Amino acid sequence: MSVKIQNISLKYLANPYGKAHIDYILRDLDLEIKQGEFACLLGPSGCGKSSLLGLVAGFVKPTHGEVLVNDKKVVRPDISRTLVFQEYALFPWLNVIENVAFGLRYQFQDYEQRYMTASRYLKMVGLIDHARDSISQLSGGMKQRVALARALAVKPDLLLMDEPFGALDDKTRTDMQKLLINIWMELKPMVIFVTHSIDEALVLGDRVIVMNKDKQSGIGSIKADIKINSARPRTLSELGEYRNQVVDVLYGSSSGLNSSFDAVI
Amino acid sequence: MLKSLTNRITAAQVTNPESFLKHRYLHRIVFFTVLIVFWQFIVILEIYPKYLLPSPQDVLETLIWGFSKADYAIVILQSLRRVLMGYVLAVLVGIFAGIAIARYKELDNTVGASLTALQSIPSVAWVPLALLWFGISEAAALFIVVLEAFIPCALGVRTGVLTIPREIIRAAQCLGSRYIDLYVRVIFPAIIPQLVSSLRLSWAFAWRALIAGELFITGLGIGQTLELGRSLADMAQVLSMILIVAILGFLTDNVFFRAVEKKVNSIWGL
Repeated sequence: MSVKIQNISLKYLANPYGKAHIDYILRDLDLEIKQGEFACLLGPSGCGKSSLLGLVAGFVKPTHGEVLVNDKKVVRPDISRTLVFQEYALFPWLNVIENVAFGLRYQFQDYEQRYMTASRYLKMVGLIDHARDSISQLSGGMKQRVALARALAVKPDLLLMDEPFGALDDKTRTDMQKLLINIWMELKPMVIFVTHSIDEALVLGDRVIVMNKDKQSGIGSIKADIKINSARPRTLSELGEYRNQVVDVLYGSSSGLNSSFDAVI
Repeated sequence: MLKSLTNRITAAQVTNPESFLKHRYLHRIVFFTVLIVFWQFIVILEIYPKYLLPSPQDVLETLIWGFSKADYAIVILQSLRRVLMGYVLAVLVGIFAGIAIARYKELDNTVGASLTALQSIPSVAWVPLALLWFGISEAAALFIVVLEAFIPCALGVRTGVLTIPREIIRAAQCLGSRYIDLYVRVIFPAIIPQLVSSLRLSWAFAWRALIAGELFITGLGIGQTLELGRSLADMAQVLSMILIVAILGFLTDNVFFRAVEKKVNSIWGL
């Protein structure tokens, strides 16, 4: 299993309400993610990382090029590639366990199977005691755990996460990172994790793919692809060298940012 | 001044909700008592002839007579039956129209824009047309009710569909929901809070349109009884009917729809 992003270009209509013009946001981009890999896409806003995720998910059609998942061309959203969003995107009219079980219906599981599977994943994220709660009763961290369980319950080959912990406070964020890593080590799906926190990318990823946009053309491209060979669970202090590398790529070596600076770009 | 007033009200609500509620009912009782006393006072002064301004007692007696001796209960039930028929039809049309308008830009630009224009036409303006097309029958009243009540529903559903967060739809799509299933299991439930407010508005429109329509048609109904009261110069009957319209409207809107709205909003976390 793998994800191959081949020669992708994406145009979009910039400023549709004013003087509309068509711009490239991504151009001739290549990327490959291998079986069981946890890849972090790191970059400032507007560098095209979320668009790239949309392309892989199948919501956005590329202008040129194609995305292959398990050697099959991505043409539309599919249950083998599920998403976790920053704003949770839970279904408020369903309770916790019904949310988690939502996708299982499309895998032709009967009611009992769906319930058992959903319970298993709720246990995994530590929310089994809240199975019957309504979504509006949950805190942000709990909502994101439900969203994670919902995305994982259908056993996707590829888990796509779009700044999933961006709306959480620091403590919850750290807890969620630990939880995600534990679950990932158990299930080992491929993950593409979009973030703009350097530390988050370093703690989580097998690879940190640094993206940035060209100042003049506004086109996003991959600036570096850094392999993190550090055993998990990781602490930030052992990642100082990697972090300097990332900071170098993003700001240049003379930027003066050092590893004690908690950079969120 | 206004600020201190609102402060006081919210403070009362927070610190002692029970006394706040008690005050609300007390205020209402005092208000209506004063109103009725004032009305009785004008009647006693005999400024207006009795056939133009009956006393509160006359109206009450007419109501008692109407419910015990005459057919007020049947009149109300007939009107309710008529309005419900029109309302259900209007809501069904409204939901489908709203979804279609939200789905197709071309429809939104044409039909959607026309609906806003149509909404500005008061229901009585359709009466002559309805009478010529359908005769002085129930069908004419139903036509007016449907025409009036489907518009707020369609416009509300349109807004509801267009304001569903994109992520909700995407989450459902990547979990395997598609086509009609996406509409039934995601889009429809997602618009329910908006739909409930639209249903409330639609009901108010339907109720107004019905009374307007009934003034001109034959058969039993609140509007017809109202019109009968006019032709007999029986002001007590006219006022009784107006009172009934107001009370039914208050009950459905403030009691029924408000409760539903509250429940839905708490589930949807609004």
